[in-house]
Amino acid sequence: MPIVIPGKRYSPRLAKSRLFGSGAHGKKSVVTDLLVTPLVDMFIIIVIFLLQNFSATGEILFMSQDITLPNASNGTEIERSPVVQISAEGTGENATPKAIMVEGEHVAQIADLERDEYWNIPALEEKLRDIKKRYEALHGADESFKGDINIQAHHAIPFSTVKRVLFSCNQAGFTNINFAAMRAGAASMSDIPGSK
Amino acid sequence: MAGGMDLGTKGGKRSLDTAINLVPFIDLLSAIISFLIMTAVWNQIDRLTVTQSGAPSSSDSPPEESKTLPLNLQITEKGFFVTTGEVSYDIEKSDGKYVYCLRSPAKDVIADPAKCDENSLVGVLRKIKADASDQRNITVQCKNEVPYRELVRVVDTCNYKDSSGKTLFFPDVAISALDPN
Repeated sequence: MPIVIPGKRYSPRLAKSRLFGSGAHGKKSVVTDLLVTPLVDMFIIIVIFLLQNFSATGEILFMSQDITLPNASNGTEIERSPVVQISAEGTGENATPKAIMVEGEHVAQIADLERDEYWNIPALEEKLRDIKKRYEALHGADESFKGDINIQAHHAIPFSTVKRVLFSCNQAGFTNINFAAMRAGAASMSDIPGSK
Repeated sequence: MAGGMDLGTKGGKRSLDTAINLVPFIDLLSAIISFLIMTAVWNQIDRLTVTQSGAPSSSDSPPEESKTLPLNLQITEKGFFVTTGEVSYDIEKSDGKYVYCLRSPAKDVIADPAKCDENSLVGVLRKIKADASDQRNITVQCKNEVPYRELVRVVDTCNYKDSSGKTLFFPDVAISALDPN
């Protein structure tokens, strides 16, 4: 049995091939380097873009399909505070108030509240009082309670619903109201679908 | 020659070109991109601060004793109604829309308050501010049927800032729960 040099051993047919076998005149490498420089450039651009848009505050509001925020162009950056949400069902002008939530937790159904003659919403008030008590227990006398609250309401709901929520917030001690709104550069409110 | 450049004259030839291994760098960038995309917040949400009329102010600074007008802005189904105690302005809707800046607009955008119509909300607020430059407070009353977005836009208009970030009108907005007459 002949001694064979270690390495690739092709079949007799391939051994004569120009590409693999000894039939080739010049040796041609089949290994090619992938040019990664444009890929690295692209990655760097993406990283810079994402870093510029990075927000360390994270999601403050609980985004929901039932709530389309109104637009505003002269607001200030939103801060972490308890969030009261007023959702709506339907779209455009036909949207009707649906439910009230605090920190994403369902508190009251608007349809049930319409029967009440008084302004406040007892369930909401109770929930907010709990939050206030918890805040005071945690912070003690070191830090005074500021009474900040974020209102995240659908743009088409009537003021009557907002008024009751504001009244309940006021009764519970949350007097510093912040209306959450989508930041709009020079956009008009008439750009909102259904506002025409 | 010790410490000199290898000219490749002695012994085996050694290439001066060295390829930097980019693979770990690409791995690092991929990890950063994945992290940033996962943690990205795409919605930019602002807040418009208001107080309730009659509620105690929670701001740290005590209220300044200054001569201020009893400035009141009512939002009704017909339009805006602004009163200063002495003078009142009625800004009726145009084509079923509230007039914030331009009466016959393609888009009612407040690009430049100086160019807004006189009989628009911005025009009236500008006129009142010119007469009472120290005034910062305004009370907003709203009819029950008025959509929430109109209230937000009115508050946004009262907080209007110029290019230098200076508030032009009345940033201390109080919402009154009372129904306008």
